[in-house]
Amino acid sequence: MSRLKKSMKIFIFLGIPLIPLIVFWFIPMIVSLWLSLTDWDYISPTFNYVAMDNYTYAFTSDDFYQALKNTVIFGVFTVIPTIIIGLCLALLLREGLKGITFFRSLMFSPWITPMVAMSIVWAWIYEPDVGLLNQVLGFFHLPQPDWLHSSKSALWSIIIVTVWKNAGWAMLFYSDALQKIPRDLYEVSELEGASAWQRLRTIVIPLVSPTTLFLGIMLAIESIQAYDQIQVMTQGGPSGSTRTLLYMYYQMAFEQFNMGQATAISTIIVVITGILALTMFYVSKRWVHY
Amino acid sequence: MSKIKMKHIKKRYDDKNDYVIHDFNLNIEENEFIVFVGPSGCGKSTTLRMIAGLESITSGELWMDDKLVNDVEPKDRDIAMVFQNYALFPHYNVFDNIAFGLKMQKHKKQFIKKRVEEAAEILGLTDYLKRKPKDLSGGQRQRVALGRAIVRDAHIFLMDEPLSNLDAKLRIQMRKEIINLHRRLGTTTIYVTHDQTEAMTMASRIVVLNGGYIEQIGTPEEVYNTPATKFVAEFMGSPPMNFLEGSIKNNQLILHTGEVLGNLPTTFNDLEKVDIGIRAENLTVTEEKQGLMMTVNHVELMGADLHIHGVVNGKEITVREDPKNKVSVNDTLFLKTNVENVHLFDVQSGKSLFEREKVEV
Repeated sequence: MSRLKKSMKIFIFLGIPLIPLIVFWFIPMIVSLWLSLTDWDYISPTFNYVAMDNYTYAFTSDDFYQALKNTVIFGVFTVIPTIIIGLCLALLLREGLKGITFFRSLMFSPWITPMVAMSIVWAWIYEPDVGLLNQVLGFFHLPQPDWLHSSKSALWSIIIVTVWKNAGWAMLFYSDALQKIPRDLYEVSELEGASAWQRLRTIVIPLVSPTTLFLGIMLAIESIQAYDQIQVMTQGGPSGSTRTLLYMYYQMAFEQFNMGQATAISTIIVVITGILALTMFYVSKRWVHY
Repeated sequence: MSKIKMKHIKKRYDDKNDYVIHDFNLNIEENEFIVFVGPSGCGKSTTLRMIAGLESITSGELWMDDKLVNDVEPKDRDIAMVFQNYALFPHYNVFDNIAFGLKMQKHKKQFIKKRVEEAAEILGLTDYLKRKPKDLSGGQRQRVALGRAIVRDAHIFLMDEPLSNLDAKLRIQMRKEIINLHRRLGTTTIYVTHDQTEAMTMASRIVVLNGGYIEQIGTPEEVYNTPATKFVAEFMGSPPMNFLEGSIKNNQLILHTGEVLGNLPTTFNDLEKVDIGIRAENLTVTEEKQGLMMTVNHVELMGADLHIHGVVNGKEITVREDPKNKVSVNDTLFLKTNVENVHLFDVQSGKSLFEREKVEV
């Protein structure tokens, strides 16, 4: 009787929360994996099993490598600056300053604004002829790039928006992490004659490292999943210069109706995300101090 | 630099009107071991932090040897400080923690290694150099903190309640180690504690603080035997001094119950009210049915001593006796004392009357 009761308890506490996970995550993933081995066109009731053809196609296509390159550039140049700017903002806006809550809220506000709304506003700002940014640059007689209209600058324009949106979020985590550093340690460094740079290197960076790891993983995953800003501002263009893997997946699935190839890309995205998170976690043992 | 002179030092925090330190004056000689002792909030840590340069000085002068250091950066004061919570870098091993200051000052690797190994040898940390602080016991962590201080070869050590996080046994051991270290290095040391036992056992001179004022400065013997104020008498010594109310008439010390304790050794003016302080060891249980009558309410066997707690004329009293005496709760005992051993304090100011006599002379 008691064994049955125990089993029931396990089922209730473990089984019920698992149901949505299985229905909305596990099953779609298996189905997606299966679809990546077919040539389903998203509409027809029938499709053929094509084995690894979709993967072979992906790995031999220039578009795939272009998208992979864009994803890597987008990832590296959103994650690292977001972390650096977030930490700098948190250091600048440490307690003791007047109006600190106001400034923190100001910095954090981009993060609570929907990416779609923000992207629309930024698309106006980036507009080469009448946009605010080029007006300001023109006022100072600086070069006025075409921003979203040029394949050279479009990806960087999206990177700037993404960093701007996430930096306040990173700042909030760093502010909390900085508050947890014992004041004694700063005092020791003051007594021992450490410079501001030495203090940053020997106290701040090592002691906020768990936060850095957390932000690194979260931002890396978020960068792979970036969609809204690309959709609103460039739709992957000009000439594929802002097409990331996820956006390529979207275009293949819902513009070209090539669900087989799209799901193959999505599987690759999942694998890359997994490898990235695991690598970061593994490498972190060397530089993260709990 | 190893002599410290503090002249009329006051401290007030920016957002407050009241001073937390009032007119602090103290001369510390070379190689002294000075202990600041007092209850929480008395200003002892604030004073230490002002000496370190971690707190600003509102007014007054702080001299180190012949240099006014009020506005000198902490790093240029040639001091090393040990903190209550050790302030060790959790991500560094013992070696790097001890070497921190030397590394910040960009000394050569070979020099750092030599100094750290010497310090580790003195403190018995040689086998632990590669361990992180989390893998060390409380005592070992405190030794690492001491190591970081001694490796710098600073002329002044400041210690802010360094033993208060340790258990009783370890505290006694570390107390000994710190005293030995001071003997060995001869560095001028200022040590802050709220524990009067630490003050009594470690100090060459004690500074008793209360509410931001210095109550008394003196050797442990002076502070214990001739407390300048009722506060010092109460704070220093364990068990604390007993207090009874009384008066002085014709140079006779009379309890408020009318009982005459005896003739005072020095001449006093008549006083209607006086606080009489008697140490627990200066009260003895007598077989004669006369003297102070005490009803026992608690007995503590301390090993070598027996502490008998009870009530005399409505006042809590503690007597230190030989453990051979068999005493039980609710027993009625008679106590006697020698008038020469009593301390007298002014009821209003709390100042010692003996001290006042001295001043008046």
